[in-house]
Formats: sequence, C-alpha cells, structure tokens
Amino acid sequence: MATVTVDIVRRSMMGRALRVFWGQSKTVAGILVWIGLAVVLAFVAIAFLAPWIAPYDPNLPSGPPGAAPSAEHWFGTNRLGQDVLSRTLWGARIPLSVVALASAISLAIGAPLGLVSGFYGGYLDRFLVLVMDSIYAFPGLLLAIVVAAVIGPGVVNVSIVIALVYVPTYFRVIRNHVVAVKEELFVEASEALALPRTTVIGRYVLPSVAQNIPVIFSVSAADAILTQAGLSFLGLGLPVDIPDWGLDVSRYAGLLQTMWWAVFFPGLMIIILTTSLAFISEGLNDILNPLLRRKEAR
Amino acid sequence: MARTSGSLRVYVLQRLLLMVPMVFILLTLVFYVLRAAPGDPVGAILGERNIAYADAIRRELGLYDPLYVQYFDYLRRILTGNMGTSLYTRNSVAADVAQRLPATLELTIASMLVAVPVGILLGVISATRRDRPADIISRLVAAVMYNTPVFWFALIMQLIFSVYLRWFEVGGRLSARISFPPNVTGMYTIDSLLAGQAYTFVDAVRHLILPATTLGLVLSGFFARIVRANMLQSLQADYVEAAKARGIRRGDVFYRHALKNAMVPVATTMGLSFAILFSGAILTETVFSWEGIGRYVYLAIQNRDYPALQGAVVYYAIIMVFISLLIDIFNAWLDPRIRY
Repeated sequence: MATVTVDIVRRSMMGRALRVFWGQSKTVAGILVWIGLAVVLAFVAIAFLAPWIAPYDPNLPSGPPGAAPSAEHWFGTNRLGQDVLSRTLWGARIPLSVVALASAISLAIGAPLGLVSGFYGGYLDRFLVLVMDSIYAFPGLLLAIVVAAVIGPGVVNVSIVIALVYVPTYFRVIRNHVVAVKEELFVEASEALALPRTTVIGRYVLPSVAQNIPVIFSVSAADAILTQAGLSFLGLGLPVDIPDWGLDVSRYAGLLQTMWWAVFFPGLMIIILTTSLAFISEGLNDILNPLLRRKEAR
Repeated sequence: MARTSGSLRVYVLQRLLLMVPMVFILLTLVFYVLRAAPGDPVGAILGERNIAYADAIRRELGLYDPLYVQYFDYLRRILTGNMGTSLYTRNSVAADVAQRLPATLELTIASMLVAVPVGILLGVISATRRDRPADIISRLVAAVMYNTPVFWFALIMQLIFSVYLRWFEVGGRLSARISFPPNVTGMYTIDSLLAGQAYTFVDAVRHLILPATTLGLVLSGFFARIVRANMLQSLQADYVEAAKARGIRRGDVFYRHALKNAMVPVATTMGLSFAILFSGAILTETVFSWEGIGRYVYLAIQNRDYPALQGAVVYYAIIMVFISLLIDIFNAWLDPRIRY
C-alpha cells in the first residue's frame, strides 16, 4: 500500500518532466533539441549506410590525385586520389562508435559510483569526490594523451581513454542529484518503511536521478567527439588508413594550400555533428533546468 | 574589518591544506596511469625492435624495481624538483618546461584578451534579448565557435590570414632574422616592450595574433554560454525588479545591476577554464609551431619521449592546482559570502 503511494509520487515527477518537455516543442529550446536530434540521427544513418551511399571506395583511388571539387567528386579528391566525400561519409563511423562506446563505459563506471557515493556519504564520498574533482580539473585532452600514449591506438582503446575523461562528469552530476533526492519526502518515507536500501536506491532514487543521463550524455558527447578528433589529429587515436575526420585533417594539413578541400570538409563534419549535440544539450538544459535548479542550488 | 581578514586567512589556510591531498592524488594518478597501466609503457613506446635500448631505458627509469619503490622514488624526485632528462632534447625536463612555460602563458593570456570581451558581448546580447532573433543568432555563433575543433580552425585561419592575405605569420614566435629580446619574463611581446624594441614587439605580435585569436574565439563560445546563463539568472533577481520599479533606465539596469552581479560566478568559471584552454593550447601550439608546453607534450609523443611527457604532465598538474587555489582565494576576497 505504502509502496504504491511512493510509486505514484515518483511517477508524477517523471510525468511532469515529460509533459514539460513535450509542451516545449514550440519554444526555442524545444526546436533546438529537435534540430539537434534530427542532425545527429542523420549522421548515425550516414555511418550505417556509408557502404551504400558513398559514391566510391574510401580507401582506393577513384580519380586524379588532388582534384578540386567537381560533379564527379563533390568534395574533390585527396593526394592519393581518394574521394573526399566518400571518406567523409565513412568518417562518421569512428567518432560515433567511439562516443557511443565511451559514453556507455563512462556511465557504467560513473553512475554507480555516484549513486553509492551520494547515498551513503561519509569518508568514501569525500574521497571519491576529491579523486573525481582532481580528474575533472585536469585538461581532458592531456589526460587522454597520456593514457592513449600508454595503451596504444585502436577504436576500443580510444573509447576507453575518452570514457576515463568523462567518468567524473557522470559521477558529479549523479552524486549531487542523489544527495538532493535523498532529502525528498518519498525517499524518507521509503526509508521510514524500512525498505531495504537496494530497493530504495533502485526503485526510488535511481529513476529520478536517471533523467540526468540524457543531459550529461549530450553535454559530454560533443566534447568527446572533439577529444577523439584531437587525439586523431595528434596521431594517437587510430591506426592509419581508417577514414576518420580528425585523422584526415591531420594527414592533409600540410597540403592545405594546394588542396584545402581534403582538410575543410572532414572538419566541417565535426562542427556540424558537435554543434547539433550542443543544441540538444542546450535545449534540454533550458527545459529541465527550471525543474532542477532548486535542487542543484545546494 | 579585522574579523573579515581573519576569516579570509582561515579560509586561505583551509584551501592550502586541501591542496596537499589534491596534488597528491593527481601525482598518484599520473604515476599509476604511466607506470602501472596494463602493458609496458617503454615497450609500447619503443616497439619490439629496440630490445637493448628499451632495456637500458627501463633500467634508467627504475622500472625493474618493485612498484612501491618506484612510487616513492617518483614522489621523492618530484619533491626535489628533479623530473629526469628528456630523451629528445637531452635537457632536464625542468629546464625544458621552464623555458617553454612563458610561451604558453603568453598565448593563454593573449587568448583570454580575445575570449573575455567577445564572450561577454555575445552573452549579454543573448541574455538581454532572450528568445529573440539576436539571442538565437548569438547562441548559434557561440555554439559553433565552442564546438569547432581548434586544430581545424587554426589551419583555416592560417590559410586565410597568413597564406592568402599575408597579414600575419604562419607559425613560430619570432621571425628568424630578429634577435630575441632580453629575457625578463620570457614572453617576447612584454620583453620587447620593456627593452623598448618596437620592431621586435611588432614582429612578436604578428606571430601571436593568429594563435591567440584562434584559441580565444573557441573559448569565447564557452564564455558566452556562462555569461548568458548567469545574466538570465540575475535578471530575474529581486534587485533587478526593484531597480526597474524605481524607474532606472533599461541600459543601466542591465549593465550596472544585472551584469555586475552576474560577473562573480562568471569570473570564477573563466578563471577555472584554463583546463579547457590548455587542451586547446596543445592543439593550437602544434598547428602554429608555438614552442610552449603544449607543443612540448606533442613532440614528446612524436619522439616517444616518455620522461618528458611525464615531467610536463606533473608540472602541469602542480601549476594547475596552484592557479585554482589562487582563483579560489581571489573569489573569497571578492565575495565574502563564499567563506561562510
């Protein structure tokens, strides 16, 4: 009986958040989110469909080396005669898979630590906060460089490296929200009913904290793509000859004067993708903040 | 008054004490990441071919000692300021870092000079015209700038302004034909001014403008967001309402009441943004061949110069903790509420 009451309270909180979000779809914030989502989904589609929509093989010469953009090669060809458009389309695969994998790892490490740290408090909490804050204050790219230099290149390795950089972000937001939610009446009520702590965390704290996850994801995803591109640019991300935006910018940087297109278009793709992710996070922030502000004030 | 300065002193002392575990944790992290990560860093860096050389380096770095011996040895060397010798430059890492630090400092200060005004301008335009076209456009500009890969932006700026227009230099800190100004701060623009060498100063500025603008513009997108958010918040405050009710002009309400109050958290965030700034500096310095710490890190990776990488990171960690301490203290001095 009491469990039912607590459930209703929790559900109405989630419901309120959802209603606010749907109601916002005609405001600037709402439109930002929808545009961002559309572009990101388009990139996901491109990444999946690259073998069918790319006009040429990204790794084989398909025209004269260094040809300017033309009807046959919309984005021109690079020094090896590879089609820049095809490489750019294929290039969506690495950043997107790295971000997806890295976010999953960050979430899997940061969220449980944040939950436990925020819920139990005490020395463990203080220690974890200090460690996470130390990592958080460190420049993401520098941390990534150091770890990448040690564990070596590869898609999975880069994902691990980038995941490390964003664990503190997941940890901080979730931990702070847990600390706030712990004071809520429905959590106190469920504790007063002597429900097991795992039940309290799993059924009452987690669902209300989980609404942060899309926000953290959209905030850190754009940054993660920039970090991944930066690593590739510095030659630490990937083995050569995989089509990747950051890597292609770095490989043709020296030829910028003679064939700007080989550098310009991959970089442009990075901007479009990261800006769309930023739209999502800005919009979500605008929409959710009025609900969260009171709690985050602590 | 005496009480206030007393509590500030207590606060500074608290922060200083808290700094010790923070530095310690960072140093420990750096150690474990570089030494105890799965796989052998020297092997990973040198590859399979150079077994004898790798062995010599391992011996030199003490990698055959037990881990705790290595760890204490590492801490002892940091405390005595000895971070080893760069395999590439053959100088002590401390000397290398000391030589390159002013360059990075000069670049970051100059890019702050770009980022702060541009960021405040964009943020204020956004906040005072919320959800109107001017807000949407400046938010769009800010979002694009902040989300631009800085290395790509640097290349494009270089192409337009140094190659096509020839307004600024492509890279480096000073033209080869110009002799270095007398070393005072290590920052060529300031040193040349101090020595009254106008020609050297102009040359140094022509080298500095492009990297500083690149890095500054990227950072200004970040600042614009913070200014906007804080200004929107302070525009909703009661004192702004009261100021409007008193019939104070709109402009004065915005700038004298809302903006000034919004600046306290903004100043903190700007001060703390050097972590972002440094990530950008690594890439900007690389593109513009700017001989700072960022490029040193890049070269250390390229040359597989493991002691240099570790040394640069350790120094960076220590400097960073000091700067964040200074900013905290500055804020506590600025805003007495922080201490309570």
